Amino acid sequence: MRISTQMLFQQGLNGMLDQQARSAKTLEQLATGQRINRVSDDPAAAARIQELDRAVSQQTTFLDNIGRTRQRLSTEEGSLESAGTVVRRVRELAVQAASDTTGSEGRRLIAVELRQRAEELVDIGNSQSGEGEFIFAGAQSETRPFVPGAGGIRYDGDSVRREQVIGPGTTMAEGDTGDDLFMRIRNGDGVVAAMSVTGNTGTGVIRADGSDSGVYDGTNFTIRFTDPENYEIRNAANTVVDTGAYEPGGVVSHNGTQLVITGAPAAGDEFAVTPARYESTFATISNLADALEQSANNDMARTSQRQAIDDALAQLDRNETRLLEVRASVGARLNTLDDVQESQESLRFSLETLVSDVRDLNYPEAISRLQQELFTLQASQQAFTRIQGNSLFRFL
Amino acid sequence: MVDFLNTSLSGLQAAQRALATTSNNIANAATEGYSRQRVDFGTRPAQFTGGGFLGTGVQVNDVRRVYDAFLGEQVRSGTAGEARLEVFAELSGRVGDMLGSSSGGLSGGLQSFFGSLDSLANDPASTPVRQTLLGEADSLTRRIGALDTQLASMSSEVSGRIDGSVATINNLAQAIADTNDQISSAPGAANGNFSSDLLDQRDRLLQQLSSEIEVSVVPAAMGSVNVFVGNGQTLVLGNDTTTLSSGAGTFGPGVRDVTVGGTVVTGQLSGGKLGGLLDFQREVLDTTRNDLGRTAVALSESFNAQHSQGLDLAGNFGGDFFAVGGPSVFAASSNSGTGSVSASINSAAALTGDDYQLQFDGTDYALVNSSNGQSVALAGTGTAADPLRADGLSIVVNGAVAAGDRFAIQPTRQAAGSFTRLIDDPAQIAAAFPIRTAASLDNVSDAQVSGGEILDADNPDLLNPVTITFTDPTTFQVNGTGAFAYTPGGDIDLNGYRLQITGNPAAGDAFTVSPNTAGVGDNRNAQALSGLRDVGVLEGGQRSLLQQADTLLASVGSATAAAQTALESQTSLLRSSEAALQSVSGVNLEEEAANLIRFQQAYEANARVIQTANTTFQSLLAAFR
Repeated sequence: MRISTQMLFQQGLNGMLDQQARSAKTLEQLATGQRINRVSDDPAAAARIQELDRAVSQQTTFLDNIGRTRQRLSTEEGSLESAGTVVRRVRELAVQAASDTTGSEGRRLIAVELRQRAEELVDIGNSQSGEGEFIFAGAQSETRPFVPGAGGIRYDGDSVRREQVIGPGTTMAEGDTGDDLFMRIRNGDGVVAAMSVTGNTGTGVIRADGSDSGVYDGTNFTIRFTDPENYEIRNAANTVVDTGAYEPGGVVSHNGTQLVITGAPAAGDEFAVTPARYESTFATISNLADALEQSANNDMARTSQRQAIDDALAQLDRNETRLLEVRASVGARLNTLDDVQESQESLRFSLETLVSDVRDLNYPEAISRLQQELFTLQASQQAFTRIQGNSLFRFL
Repeated sequence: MVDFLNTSLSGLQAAQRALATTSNNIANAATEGYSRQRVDFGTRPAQFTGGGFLGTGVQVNDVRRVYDAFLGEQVRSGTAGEARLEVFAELSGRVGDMLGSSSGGLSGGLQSFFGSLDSLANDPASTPVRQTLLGEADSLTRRIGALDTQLASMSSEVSGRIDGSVATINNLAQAIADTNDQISSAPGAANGNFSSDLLDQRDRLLQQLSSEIEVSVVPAAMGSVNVFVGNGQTLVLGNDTTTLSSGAGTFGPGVRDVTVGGTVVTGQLSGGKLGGLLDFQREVLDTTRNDLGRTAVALSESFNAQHSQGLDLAGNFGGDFFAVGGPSVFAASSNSGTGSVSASINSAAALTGDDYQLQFDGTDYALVNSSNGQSVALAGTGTAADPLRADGLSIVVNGAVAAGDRFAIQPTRQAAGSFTRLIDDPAQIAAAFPIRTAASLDNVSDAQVSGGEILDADNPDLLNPVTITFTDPTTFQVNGTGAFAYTPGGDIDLNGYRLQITGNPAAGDAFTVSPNTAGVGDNRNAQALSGLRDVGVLEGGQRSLLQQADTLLASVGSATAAAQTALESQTSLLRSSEAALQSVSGVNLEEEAANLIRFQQAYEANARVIQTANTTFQSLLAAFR
């Protein structure tokens, strides 16, 4: 092929210019440490990097939320522990009050401590987080949830538990609401509540124990003693539906309920059985203190005080159980957080590795590439001068 | 009688001409567009003598340039292709760099904004967090605004470059016409002898023209050429030119067009810088700007809708959070009616990102997608009560529109430019769910009520307190009236929301729904707002905002990548065409040096023959002395 001098020159020059452009790019990569420095370097990879960058940042958000949730759950756990201590102390006091060796003065003193403990529990219920939010108030986090009212301590919060996003499509409650902790505790045995009707003359005390919620139909009924040895059960319509012989400490079963009567009921004494209702921890303590402050100077008063203490003990057990359940759930959530955090962290790491693979420079490769490019450039330069220096005109 | 003195004189002259041509070749070795010339020798007519024909020497038949028109054509089309791709790749690379920049790109802006919503969901009552969200919203609107401004200034840059290219094309066309004239009027043209230098000059001009626009060159009489652009629109016809012009088109300055002699050829021109500029504007710049606007519209629409559902710190519904620009409508200058058209967006998800033309034929309206030329089915009649609806647009026609009237509609071109934040007070950010539900503390059963979901945020009774009371385990009343059958877990729809009650409620159990007043710690609406990140709000719900940011970058990126790859191969193609042409037409100095020696020797040899003739003649003279 015939070659023109200009073409020969241009080809040599183009070769050198191309080499120069290539090694300049490699130099830039080495200077920044990144394979792709702007979108136009590799438009296809740039979109992928953008997506991965965002995924990394999303993982970081999840990890932030996990940290936040853990911090709040730990705060809650502290409060729950304090509440548990208080309830246990109240229970000890109730047991102490139940003892025959405790006199009426002793019970009054116990009542004083009970009222203090109740206040302490209100304060725990009104715990605030570092950000100044009431942690047990639900959504109304700037409203003091537990306030004294006409009928005792009132709950002004709500049932909204705040959820945090801790993973793609995964949320976790970062707290619990005060109504669950302290307000929604069933009285009686959790299914039915039984109590002496005002005006009983005997010393009979009743408590519900182990009723079956699956069988109980939710209706009220009354146990009436026709004489100290026998009772009859009347339904809501006051119709006798069952009768039985009284045995102190024995179990009366009716309609799925299990009722234990002790003491000596008198003829005409009645015990009302109703579905269990919610009773707040504060009400339980306050009722107990009220009962202990009553002077128990006759059998009847002693009986009702006795029943109040028994009721309170059963109720306090459920309170403690509730607190333990919530603590267990908080603990379980903390454990889940650990697991989720671990997997999110490893996911973030692998995403970061992926971003780095796509964007970052492989130094050994780049350095050897640069060397090769510089070598080729040098070779083209030498070839160029050789060829350009070689002309027939030199021999004319 | 043959005179060998004359014969050798002709050889001497021919060698002289050849030396002159060689020296011209050497002198022009570095001249761009110069085609090497060579001398064609021929024998002079022989003279008949009795003994036969005797040669009378050499004559120069022609001094002609060595050129291959086919290769020249290849170089021109390669130049046009390369110039187009170079402009296209450079400009779309700039758009990509703009969109993909981590400090100013769309994806980063959206990510930071949604990140601050996550912080709000973490800590909904905190004023500093709310303030940060407002700041991030500002920075997002500024980013989108800045991208739009950059795209708009690129658009005016491109318009300026189009004007410049059109002016260059007109100048070159004029110069080609002038050269045509010179070639055809030069002496010898009638005999088919054209000036090599003028031909070279015209080829150079044609090549310069090719780098502005792709042309087709057709040879004509008397050595001139005709030049056509686009679909055969004449640019140069012999000595005449048709002027190309650019500027405000049929739809006013908002929609620019390129015309040749009054015919709009914007969509037909290809190749060259002008083709690259027009392609870039149509394929990358306008669509990117439309899509950016579409993203702002979708963000604004979905965010406002969700934000309006929530309650702010004061317990009021959150209003619109963002404001965004609406569609632009341009009436054609040829419209004979007095009517006007206004357009608004009714669904961001249905928007396509394309531009449209509304046409009226006297009875019916037709909407044509300007990007693909396809007509779009229209619903409605065009009145304010029943607007024309298609592809997420609502179009209202006011006044009298005449048959043949046309309107250009750009749904989202200007939207991003006026994307702003409306909420100023951090307390007005609606992070809370509007209602809260609760089971009464006096309930006998453990039946639960769900938190509820909003079906219709505009329901006027949404915030009215409601109590659901069970009269027996299977029947409930709402606010003390009615008797509704209870299904555990079944949907209960009230006042614009839906909730479910589960479990076995007992007679007398009550569930309340109340406005979430003072629910400052509630993050449910903040979470719903943050969740918009992944909700499909574009392309019929198929594409989320972030996917849109990715798609934008990827589409610009792939256009750039394709142009870069094509540019590389086009460049090497052009280089090889140039090399092929050069190999025919280029000057090779070695060759010229050899020619120099050859013709010098020829000259010397002829001179020696003249000397011999002289000697012969002297011998003859001496014989008579």
